[in-house]
Amino acid sequence: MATVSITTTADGDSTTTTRRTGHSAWRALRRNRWGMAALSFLGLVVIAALLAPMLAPHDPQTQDLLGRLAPPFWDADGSAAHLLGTDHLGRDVLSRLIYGSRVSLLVGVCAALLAGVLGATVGLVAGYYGGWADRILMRLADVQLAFPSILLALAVVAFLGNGLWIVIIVLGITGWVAYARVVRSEVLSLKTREFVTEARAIGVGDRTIITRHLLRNVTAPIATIGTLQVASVIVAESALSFLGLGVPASVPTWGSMLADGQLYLGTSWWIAVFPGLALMLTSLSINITGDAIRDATDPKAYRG
Amino acid sequence: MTDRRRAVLRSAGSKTLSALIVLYLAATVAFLLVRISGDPLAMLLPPDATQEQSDEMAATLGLDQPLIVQYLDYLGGLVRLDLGDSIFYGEPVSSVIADRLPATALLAVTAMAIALLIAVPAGIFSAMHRGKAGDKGIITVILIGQSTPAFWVGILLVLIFAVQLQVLPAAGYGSVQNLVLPAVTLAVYSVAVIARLLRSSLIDVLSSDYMRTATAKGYGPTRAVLSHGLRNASLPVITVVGLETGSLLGGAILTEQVFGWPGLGRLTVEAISNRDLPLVQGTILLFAAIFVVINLVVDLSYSALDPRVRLEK
Amino acid sequence: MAPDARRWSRRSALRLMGACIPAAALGALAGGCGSDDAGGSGTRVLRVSQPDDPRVLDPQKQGDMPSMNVLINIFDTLTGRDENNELVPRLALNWEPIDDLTWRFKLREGVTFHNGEPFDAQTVKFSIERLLNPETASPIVELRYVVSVTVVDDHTVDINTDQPDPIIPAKLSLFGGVMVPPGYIGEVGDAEFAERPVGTGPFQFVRLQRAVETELKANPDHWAGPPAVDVLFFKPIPNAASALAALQSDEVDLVTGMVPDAALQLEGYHGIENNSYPGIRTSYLSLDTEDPVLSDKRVRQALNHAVDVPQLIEAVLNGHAREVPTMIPRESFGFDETIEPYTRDLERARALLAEAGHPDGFSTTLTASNNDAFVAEAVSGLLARVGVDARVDLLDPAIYSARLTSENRRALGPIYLAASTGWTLDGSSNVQSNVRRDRRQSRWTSDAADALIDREELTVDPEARLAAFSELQKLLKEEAPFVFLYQIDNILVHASGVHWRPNVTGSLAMERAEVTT
Repeated sequence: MATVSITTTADGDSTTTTRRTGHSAWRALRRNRWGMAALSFLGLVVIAALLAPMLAPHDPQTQDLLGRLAPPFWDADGSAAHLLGTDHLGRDVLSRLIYGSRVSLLVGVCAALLAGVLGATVGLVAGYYGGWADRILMRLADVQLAFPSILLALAVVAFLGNGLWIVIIVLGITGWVAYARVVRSEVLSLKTREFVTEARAIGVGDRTIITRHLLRNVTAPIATIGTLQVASVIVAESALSFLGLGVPASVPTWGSMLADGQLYLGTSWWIAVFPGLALMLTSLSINITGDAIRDATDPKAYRG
Repeated sequence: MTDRRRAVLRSAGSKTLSALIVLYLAATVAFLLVRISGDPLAMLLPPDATQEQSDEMAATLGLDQPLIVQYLDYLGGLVRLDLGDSIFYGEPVSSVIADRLPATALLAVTAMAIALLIAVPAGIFSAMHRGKAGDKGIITVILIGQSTPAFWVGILLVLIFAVQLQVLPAAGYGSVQNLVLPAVTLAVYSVAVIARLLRSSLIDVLSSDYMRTATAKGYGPTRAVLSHGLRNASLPVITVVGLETGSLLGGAILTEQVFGWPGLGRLTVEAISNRDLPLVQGTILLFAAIFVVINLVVDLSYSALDPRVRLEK
Repeated sequence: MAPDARRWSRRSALRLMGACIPAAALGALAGGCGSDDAGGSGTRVLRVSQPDDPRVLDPQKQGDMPSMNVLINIFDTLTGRDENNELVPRLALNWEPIDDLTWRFKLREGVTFHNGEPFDAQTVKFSIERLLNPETASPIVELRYVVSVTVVDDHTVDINTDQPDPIIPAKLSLFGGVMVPPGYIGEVGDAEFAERPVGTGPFQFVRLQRAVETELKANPDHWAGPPAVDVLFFKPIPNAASALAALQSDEVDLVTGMVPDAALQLEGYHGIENNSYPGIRTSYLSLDTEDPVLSDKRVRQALNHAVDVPQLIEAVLNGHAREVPTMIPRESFGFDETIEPYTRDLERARALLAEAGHPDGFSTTLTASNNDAFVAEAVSGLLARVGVDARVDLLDPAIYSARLTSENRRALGPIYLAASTGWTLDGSSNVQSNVRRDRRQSRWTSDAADALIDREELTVDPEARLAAFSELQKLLKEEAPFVFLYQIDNILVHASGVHWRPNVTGSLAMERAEVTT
């Protein structure tokens, strides 16, 4: 839903559609202090996810019932063996946190990609061809928007089972509308521009125009939305896990850690607080990065 | 004048018609959704139940009919507001839902009111002090609000206000203080979205030629914003308020779970975990219907508010 | 003194702010508003939380804990259990077997239902016949050997069975012995009765607002005298963390159905007490003895040696449970104290697995209800120590119980975590549905066991029954068709002003509860 704000600034003003090149965008991004901080944090999360087996000090599933609910190392009762303490079954919180980043990133990135491919395709087709195709596709978008995505995800997961890929596909399918609307409105203005009308005049096929000319010009908004969507998918996945309907219990996720830890907030706060923080900081960093990318690639938005 | 009125009416008519079409499609989606597993019985019965059990269950749910017959029955029922009987409660779905609807309506309306009360001043302030410390502070808070999952906000609020300070109850239903924490929890995300949008659209309006003229005419910046800018900037905000209904309802599912709020969100989660198919179907449909109706209202009032909105399309 | 004063100020402060939402607020809260103050000042109110709402308020058409916990306060049974678990008179004053197939009950006189309708022998006949009537479709099965009720005089009845049933008086302390009003039901019908139940119990039904609360009020004319609480609320709070927070913020006074770790959270908390009382809910792992791996007795014994129950109790359940040697809990008739639990011995377990051809262990699935996720994961962790990789498969409670009670005995996979509450405090309750091969949850075929079940179920002589139970427990231990775990305590977390203790069944009969402020 957050992406609505972007669509409203793109009202087809003909002077602003030129995008900065990737190079200068990167330079603009580097000047953004928060943007760089966020990007660095995300880098850490990505490294944690990729190298989890090497970085995690313990197996995330191994229990130590006699050593459960141990506090983080800085507490008098804590120890260096479990830097962030242990959970209610004596599992190492830090290791679970590191492994949990895998699920969050995998689900976030894959679902956002899936949504991007679906949404961009719909947006290109609807915008370029117009007419009935446009009307039907946009009506479908209205229908999709009418269902809170968490509700659809809950129902589908409950009925189809809670595999990792089912979660990814459901969250991917529920996220296409934002892309479709933005891409469509961009295409509507692009297709009246000279390079498109000329290409058409000299007999270039529709498919070539769409893939060669239009798609290239909508990559920047797609990237912005995609980035922001990774954050909302990560939050949605954790919500499913929190409700006990996410990926199976045998995989540690931030959402299920939070759900497990909720009961222990009074005494063993670290079980829920660390995954909560990880979730919030990751989502925050992605949002900041997304904003920074938009500011860097869209001179008009940069004004704001 | 009469032409214009006719045009307004025609436009309203076509908007209502397309809302009805969306509603019909949504009803179809809700119908298909509870049947996507191929065999809804598989959820209710053990993996290899006897044929007899399976048949009995199928007959109870009307699942022994061909899909198209079930579909027509379902649509026929909808017209009479008959959504079937809940398996778990043994009562009509419509009456189970009616029991829970007020709680969710109260929660969502309060949350939206809180969101507007905070977001509108924050957005205006931020836009007028663009780039200054206050603006940056607000943007930061907005980003944090947008990034924090509702259930995490709820858990933290309970920890602070109910468990530590003991000034507000953590659960329960029935009086003002019961409402505070759930409504604030639910409002957080909408505050962020609305403030952010208001800020950016106000900035757009403020830098337009016509506002520059207003300022040049000697209006102070505050007066210029309040008298001209806000009116123009409010239109996208109204649209977003409509669209936000969706995320409010989605957020209500989680918020109600954290606070044990006796509304539709909790009912839906219970129905899903009980595999109460008719009830799940009914609640999903209702969520969609609320969204469609509110957005239709927004849409209609939008064209009434803004003479510039073209009546065609 | 001090803690109470503080609680009061907290409560008053909340009340002060608790001005009702104006009726204009969507009219949504009509009826809910200010209900805590029902009856004004001086009213003794007790607010009890449990995980769910009662599902059905017809006492003969329900079988779930939340419903039983509410209904036991509205209705009376013929016999009852006191705090010391002794069978005591309620609506029946005394009883005796007249012959192998007949039990005679003498009834209490002068008892009336909440609507004024008198209770007598005709009521007993009506109630039990309604329960047995197939049209009632009652889930209550205890009275399966009862064929009829004979009215001897106004206050004497004979209960006739088609097989000797030694524990009829114990069974009538449960919902099998619940007394319902014939006149009222005849007048308003079953549906209305389930909406507005009328009983003879210590509390009268006031209203049920789903997902919010069930309200009951004291029955001033109860035969045992009026209860010490004027208004009794049951509030459904599914989430343990929310229930504790509700207790801390004074939304409820007594939290029930808690796992031991939840109680730990409020240990030493100002104005709140934790108490745990012995319970008889007995947990076990059911093993599919026809599973290719589990069909070997040595494997089943190895699992029993591997699951370190004392450690599970000490570490995970914070000591709030007692190890149980086989399936019969200590308080139940038939428990043989000479039988020792399995020794917890990983070496022995590994050796047995190796003997059975699994030197490196094996992979399997452990199914459990979501509500028991915690214990299931801990058990899986304990099994991992001997190389048994038991993947935990968690099901929503509704799905779990549907599969548990289905005809398909493999619906929950090779190993599942289950528990039974022997409501009658007779060993037969704990083994009635999972041992004899024809019973729904049995996954074991043993001629010896079937014969022993027949002996304890169909003999009236207590000595002969004890002997049968003893042999059965020895056989269970040797053959290990289950992994025997523990009997869990009943844990109560409550405001310090609440005075009440449950009996071993843990049911929430609040007749004797007192509140002081």
